[in-house]
Amino acid sequence: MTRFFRLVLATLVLASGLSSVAWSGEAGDRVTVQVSAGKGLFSGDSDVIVQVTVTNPNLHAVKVARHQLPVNGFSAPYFTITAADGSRVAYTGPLVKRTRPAASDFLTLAPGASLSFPVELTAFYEIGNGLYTIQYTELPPVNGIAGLRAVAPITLRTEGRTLVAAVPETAAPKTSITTQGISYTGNCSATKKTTIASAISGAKAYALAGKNYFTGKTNTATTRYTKWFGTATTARISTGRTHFTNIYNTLLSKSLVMDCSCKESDTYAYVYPDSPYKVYLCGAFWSAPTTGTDSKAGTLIHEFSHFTVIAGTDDYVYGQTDSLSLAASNPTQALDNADNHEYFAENNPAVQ
Amino acid sequence: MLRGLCLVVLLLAAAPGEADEAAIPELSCSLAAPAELPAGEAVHLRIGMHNGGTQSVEVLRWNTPWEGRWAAPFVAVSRDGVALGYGGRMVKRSRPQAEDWFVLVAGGTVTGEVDLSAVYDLSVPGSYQIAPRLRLLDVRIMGAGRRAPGEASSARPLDCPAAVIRVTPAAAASP
Repeated sequence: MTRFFRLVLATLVLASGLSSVAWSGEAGDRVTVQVSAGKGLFSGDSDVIVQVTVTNPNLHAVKVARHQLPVNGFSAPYFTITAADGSRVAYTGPLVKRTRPAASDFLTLAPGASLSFPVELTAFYEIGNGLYTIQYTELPPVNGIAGLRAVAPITLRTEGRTLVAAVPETAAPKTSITTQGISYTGNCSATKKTTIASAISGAKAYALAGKNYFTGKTNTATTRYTKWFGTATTARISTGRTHFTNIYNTLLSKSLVMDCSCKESDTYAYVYPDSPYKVYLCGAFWSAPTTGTDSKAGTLIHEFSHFTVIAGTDDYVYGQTDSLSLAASNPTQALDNADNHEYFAENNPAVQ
Repeated sequence: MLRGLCLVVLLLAAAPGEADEAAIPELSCSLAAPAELPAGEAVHLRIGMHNGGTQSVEVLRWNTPWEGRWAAPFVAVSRDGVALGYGGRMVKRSRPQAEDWFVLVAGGTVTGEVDLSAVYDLSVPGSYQIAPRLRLLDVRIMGAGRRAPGEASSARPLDCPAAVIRVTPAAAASP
């Protein structure tokens, strides 16, 4: 009885509210998007699949755009996935630029209706092992199309994964591999790929020159060495030789992965030192010169020196001034500091 | 006497960019860690820095627990004496922006919480030695003005106490 009365009331409200507009999408309508996972733990190399449920909480029908939802595959990073250390998981799927949508590009959701479908996250996100927070990306309503409101982020844990991203062959390629053994992730544009290739060439030249510097040297060093690494000893020169030989051999023969997803403007680049040989390039990298002080090529020397299997360097100090004083005050730390390797390699202004 | 000697050694070790070292008030560090917990749980460390001086300072938050993320291995971990690999990121920066600094008032303490299990594999039961190796990349007396480009920073280590965490086998899941 009460229920029936409410229904009548709702119908009356609807009738009065809809007197002028049949489909009221423009008044800021939103549908809710709920992400759920059947379980909290995904073990081994299983696909991480979540259920996405879109619900129209309004008292009238609304229109949603298909391309805002992964109903027919991915055309945008619909999810924001964050690892336990706060880092954003890279989206490796396609980004589709659209023209004017056709009528078939929309779905109509009746009042109270829901649409639910499974989505495999591991196909388009580089999910490794650990705790992940998954949030659907919210969108505002626009031009009569309902906006999306995410209900709440969910967390799930993965363990025992060996495949970083299991991309089906039919899907858009995650990485494009060139003949030089360089692959790209994080949506590197063609322009950026060209820029990266020049930077790697420059880094190879720096690494070779650095390696050659140490050829035949045992315990005597020139200004170039003492400027950036301090007082020379036989052991220290041997360490420097190993570092530059390793960097050069890696650039020459290993498979390198360059990622363009980082947008931080005050950061050049970062690496996970135990995950060779992937380098994440950030905002400051793109505005740096190809070679010279704090250049793109030098930044790559810095980053590769961090990898544990190459030199395992630390970041005791940053910048030329502090690297110079570190060399003078603490040669051991200078030989373990990434920027000292970069500045030795850049050798700018050049000294013998 | 011996205590005084140790303090001198610490201050000397605090070199490379010694510029206004003498003017920086005494900063001390604290570490709170769980003594024991089951494998598989997040391991939260609370790392605090106290300004015991009479002047407020501005601290560059890069690569510290007060940045809110792991951008450097500012804690070293070994299990039963064997050093573990750091699984977090190492970041090359350009120039610090205003928001990269925080103020630590005279007598004040800043505390940061980090999840150690996000960057180290602590899933194997055993005894883990937690050794902070913090470096403040730059500290300046508040109001002393910005450092000119090319001017040396006052990078220095911050001595923090170590801790031991005992990780016990995970409790068997109830059916």
